[in-house]
Amino acid sequence: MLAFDAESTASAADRYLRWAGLLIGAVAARAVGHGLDAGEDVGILYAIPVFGLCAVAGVLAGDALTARPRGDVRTAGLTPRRVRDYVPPRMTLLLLGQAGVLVVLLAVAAVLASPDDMGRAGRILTVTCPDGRTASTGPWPGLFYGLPVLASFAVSTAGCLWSLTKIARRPGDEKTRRDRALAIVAAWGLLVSAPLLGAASTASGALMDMTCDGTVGRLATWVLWPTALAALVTVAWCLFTVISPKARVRR
Amino acid sequence: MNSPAIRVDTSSPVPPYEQIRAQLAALITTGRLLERERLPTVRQLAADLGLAAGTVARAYRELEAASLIHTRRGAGTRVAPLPSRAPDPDPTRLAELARQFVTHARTLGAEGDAVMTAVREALEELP
Repeated sequence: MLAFDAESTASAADRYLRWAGLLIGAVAARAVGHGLDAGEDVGILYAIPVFGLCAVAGVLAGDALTARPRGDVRTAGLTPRRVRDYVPPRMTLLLLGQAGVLVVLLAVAAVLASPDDMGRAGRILTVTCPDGRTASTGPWPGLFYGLPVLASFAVSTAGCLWSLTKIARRPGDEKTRRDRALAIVAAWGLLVSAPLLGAASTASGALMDMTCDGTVGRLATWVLWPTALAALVTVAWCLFTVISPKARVRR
Repeated sequence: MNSPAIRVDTSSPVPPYEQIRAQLAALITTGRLLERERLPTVRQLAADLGLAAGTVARAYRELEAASLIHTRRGAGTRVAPLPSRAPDPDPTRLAELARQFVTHARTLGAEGDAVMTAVREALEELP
């Protein structure tokens, strides 16, 4: 009975810490978003990783509460615990694929981007039409938007990998480790699929504005829309998983 | 077959690193841990046993010095190929070990039958 009480108290504390992480994340993301939007419209690019990292911190705070082994006699299995044994396999593969698409998309967009009418690099797409005139459209996910996305992606990926390693090493039961790893993957997924949704929909929107982008432009739009749609579904899954720690969804 | 486990008694006069070293050495030399089998990281084992990482690291270092395990960056810690064993154990050394065990068991107040049962159980546990 006492063991059950201690377990349920730890589980409740774990859940409250996760929600505290989400709440702090929401407030911090709003503050960062508003603060950076004063000059340039890039606040959302920083707000998403701030929210995701606060969610990860909430999970890690719960993880830090894991009871250390006590008593004179202690036992431990000799099976090594690896990060890949605890992450949801299909969702992780999908998110890794989306991360690859995000990097490629931002790299291609950076190469194609041009400065806007105020001379600020990497903000619009300029195309020379067959009749010789030039057409410009924006916003375009060039380096101006892509650099903050890639920088926060790199930082959050390192942070999430570190967190997953900590969780895999921590003593405790397998179910709790899997739950925490799932929450971390979902938070990382948010940091991958939300920027992908933004970059793919912005790029396809810009291409649809173009009247002389030819077959390449049309093909790109046909690729970008499904990409954005897949990212939208993943964003919803990640957000649901992050904000409902007790959720059991098929993955 | 159950995965082998390590058991540490922190109230024992034998230091925890020596308990870990002795149990791992026994598991390796008796073939319960196979060649190239991966062992948990120092941090994982230390966390599971509630010991300092240095304690487990010392046990691993001694096993490495005895060529029972090897550690490589990126590949983790694995069981090393067993050194070729002597065809027959040294009877003098074996008798000495038995005397030591019987002395300790008598100190605990164990009678002859209890001592024999403990030996049989240990042999079944570590074939």
